Amino acid sequence: MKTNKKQLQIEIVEHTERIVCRLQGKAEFEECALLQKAMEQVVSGPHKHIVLDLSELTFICSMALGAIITAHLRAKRKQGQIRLHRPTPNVLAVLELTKLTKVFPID
Amino acid sequence: MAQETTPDVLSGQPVDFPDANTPGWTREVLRSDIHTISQANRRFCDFLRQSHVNEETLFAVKLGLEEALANAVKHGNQRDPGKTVVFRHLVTPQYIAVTVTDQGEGFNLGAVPDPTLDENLEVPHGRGIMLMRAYLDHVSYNAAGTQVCMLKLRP
Repeated sequence: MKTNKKQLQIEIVEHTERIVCRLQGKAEFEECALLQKAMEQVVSGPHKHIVLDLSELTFICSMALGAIITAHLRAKRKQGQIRLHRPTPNVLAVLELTKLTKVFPID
Repeated sequence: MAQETTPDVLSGQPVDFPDANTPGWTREVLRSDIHTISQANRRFCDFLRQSHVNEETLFAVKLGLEEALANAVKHGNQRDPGKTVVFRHLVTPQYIAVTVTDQGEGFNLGAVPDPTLDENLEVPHGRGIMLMRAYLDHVSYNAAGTQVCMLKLRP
């Protein structure tokens, strides 16, 4: 699935053992419904290993963090895990300030 | 810089906030919906970029404003599109000051839990005020809890 919108683009690619959700652009308040929908799609599938690629995400707000945490809780209930891949410096700083680095493995 | 009497109840930092009589304030009355406030934030950030605000400062202001506007629409105005959000801003070579005012009933700042405590880390909401505090040099609320004043110093 690939959805296009001005501020945030989301691309989901399924592999054999994992699913990768790639976020590009800005995860603003207005884009959170789109993000929430994509995250729901990712965690409702059969994959337990979910990778959230943040290498091209330049902005994230608290509501977008909430969408990711909600997906994390759903994944956890089915013994799955969301990993955060290469967050940009600004996004990593937000994750560190909110201490979400204690919740999500980051590589 | 003229001073506002409201103390910085969040950070306690000694950063003065310009009062309403300071020349240069711009006031925007926004429809209280997600699209309108998002557009206002993007428009303001475009203006800051044109004013040669650096990227680090820009990120901080954009994030603080995003959280304040979102709180005004979601919590203050309870997503009622019939209500409005008043967004005021003042940009000088020394600082960027903004206020966001909603038409809600206010809230008790002391009742907002710390989202960084271990027991709250997996709660999906409640990080907005914490992020505003972390990224801005001044964050204060009026007594009613319907207006937030924020300021970012420019390097």
